Amino acid sequence: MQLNCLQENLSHGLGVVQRAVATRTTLPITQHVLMSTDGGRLKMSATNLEIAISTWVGAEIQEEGAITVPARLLTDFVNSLSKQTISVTTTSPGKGIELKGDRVDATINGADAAEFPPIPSVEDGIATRVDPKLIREAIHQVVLAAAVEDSRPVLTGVNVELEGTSLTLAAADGFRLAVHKAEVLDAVPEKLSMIVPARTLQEVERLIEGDEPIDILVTPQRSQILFRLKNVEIVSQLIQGTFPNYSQLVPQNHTTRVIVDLGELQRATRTASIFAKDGSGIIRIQMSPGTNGAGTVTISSRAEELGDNTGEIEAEVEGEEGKIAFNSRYLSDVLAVLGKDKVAMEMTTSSSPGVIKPVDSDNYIHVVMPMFVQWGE
Amino acid sequence: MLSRVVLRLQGHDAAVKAFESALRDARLHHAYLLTGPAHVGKLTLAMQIAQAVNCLAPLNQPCGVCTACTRIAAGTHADVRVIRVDAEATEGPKTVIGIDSVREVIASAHLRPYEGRTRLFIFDGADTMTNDAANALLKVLEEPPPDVHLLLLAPSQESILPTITSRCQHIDLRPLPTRQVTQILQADYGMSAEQAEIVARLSRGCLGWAIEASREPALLAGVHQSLERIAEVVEEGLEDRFGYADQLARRFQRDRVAGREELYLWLRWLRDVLLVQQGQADSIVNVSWRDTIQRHAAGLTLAGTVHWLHLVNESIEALDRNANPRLALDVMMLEAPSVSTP
Repeated sequence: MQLNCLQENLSHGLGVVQRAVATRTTLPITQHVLMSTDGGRLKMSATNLEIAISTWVGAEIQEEGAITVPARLLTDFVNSLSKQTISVTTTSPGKGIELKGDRVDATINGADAAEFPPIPSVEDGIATRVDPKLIREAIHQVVLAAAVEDSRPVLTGVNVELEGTSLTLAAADGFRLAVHKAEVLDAVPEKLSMIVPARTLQEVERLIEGDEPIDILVTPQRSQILFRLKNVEIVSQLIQGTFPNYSQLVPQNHTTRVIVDLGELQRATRTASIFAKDGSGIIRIQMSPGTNGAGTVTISSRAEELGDNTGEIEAEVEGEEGKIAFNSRYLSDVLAVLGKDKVAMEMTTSSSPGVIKPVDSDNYIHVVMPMFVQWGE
Repeated sequence: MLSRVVLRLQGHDAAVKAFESALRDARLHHAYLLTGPAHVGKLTLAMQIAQAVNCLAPLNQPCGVCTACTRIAAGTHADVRVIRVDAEATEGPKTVIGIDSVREVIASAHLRPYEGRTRLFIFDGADTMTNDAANALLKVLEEPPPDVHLLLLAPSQESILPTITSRCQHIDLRPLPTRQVTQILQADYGMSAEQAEIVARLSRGCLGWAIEASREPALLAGVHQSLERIAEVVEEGLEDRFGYADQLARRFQRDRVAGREELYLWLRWLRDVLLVQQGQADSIVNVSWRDTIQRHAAGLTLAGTVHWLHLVNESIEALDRNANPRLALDVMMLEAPSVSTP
């Protein structure tokens, strides 16, 4: 293999695939990046056997070929260079590469491309397209609720459901549940339900750019999902298992509903969480109706021996007076992804799940389990 | 379902047959415990199974030549993972399979196979799993995701927690008869009859060791050197024995495995002495040392030999529990009976 490539292109490509490079692994070759010539461009791929990312960058190909080299080393080297044209040549076949730039020269030992795990290609299967902004928002609002390293692996994923043109993303970690509904551009022929690793979706969110629709493909065996972005392909293994039936966890009615300004609620939550660092991060929310729909929301927290804090914000409160306590992190997490001016909170009793959602749309709902606290008078 | 399965494995006919028919009928259990002494062929059998379930050939799986088979053999297949004690680990204990390895297994077990049809996790040295690791594994052993199989390799069933063994199909691999090892060494590895006999006896029915010895003359030479030292030390006085203990302790600190091997040679040597004392001179392992062993048998009492065997066993156990090698070996030498020479 022999080619010339701009340092910016190399650096950009390596940045794209970097997150798919395995960090700690039993298969050392997964710490490599696969470089190959493909249709007049340089293709770079990396996989940690869960997610595989490939990207294509412009290069002047002189001789076709493929090689794998340690990703970390190559990235560090390329990023240390100034902007210039770098020539990449494989040394003796399957052994490594030589990089030459302006008065700089390096060789990196690698391994034969045939040793690299095959990058899965998804050619046929169930396909659809989705607007990049919509999917990005959906992922952003849902992945936060997925479990990090859980003994139940299905909860480390996001349940993705496709039916007709509707797309539903859901994640839960046992304490909270986030469900986002969106539309895809092409209707799918049959109903599809699968669990995509949350990490995969985070990568998709990170790599989306531009306004072009994104292709989504699922293999006929339902083992892999492909996201085709501009110049980037992300293929991910799907998680085996059954996602909990979450629809019954979403409260169907409420006795108290408040509408507050998102910014004010966020600020009050932040203040309260300072005192909530102690004592399991509990913050208490009291919703008091006033006259003509006006009312107040009181947010308080208390740290034994340190002190306490009470904040009050104006709100539209409907229904009965309500009291509920949440973990401050769960509350601030969801407030951070809402991105709307007004937020609605709904509840029934202080021991039933609370609901947080944007006021003006039905496409997102976030359910948080309350914390049990003594409500003194 | 696989059309035809022929595992390429010499010996262990019963186990091979059982696996072949299980593979043919797609009745492979989700978890197996393969037990047997080191080098007896547990890993070889496990790799053959891994190849059989992922082989791309339409007939006679595993073919051994398709990309899946070669990648599995090279250890680069994404769906076949061998989990073993990570001696090169930069942190954490280096003698156990820890909970982190098991957590990784659990996470990847729940992903669909990456390039093959079946995900296989081979625990080479399942007996070195910590209790936490073993307990974490129970969940996957209990309700394994589809297309996932676990093969646990261990020296014996007793070395594994009962909660693990009860969830596995147990298959025991016995050492091959010396005659069979001799034949295989002569037929497939071009050894002379005499050489094959010596190596086969030293291998104690573990074909893997014999094959390694046939490829690696240094291995045999090393064994020979150790035996030479052992033959000398048995007849030497306390001072020289302490000198030897010191040497062995240093070797042990440099290379645990090699140090342990030498203690096993001691066990075998004393066993030979015991056999001669009992009039079973034909069954001894170290045939090329027949005269020396006979001299030792005459110079030791039966009780002395047995006591010495116990001492070696005790030091192996103590060293496995991380005793100070120098102290453990000194104690062994101090208590060992002396040999009266005519």
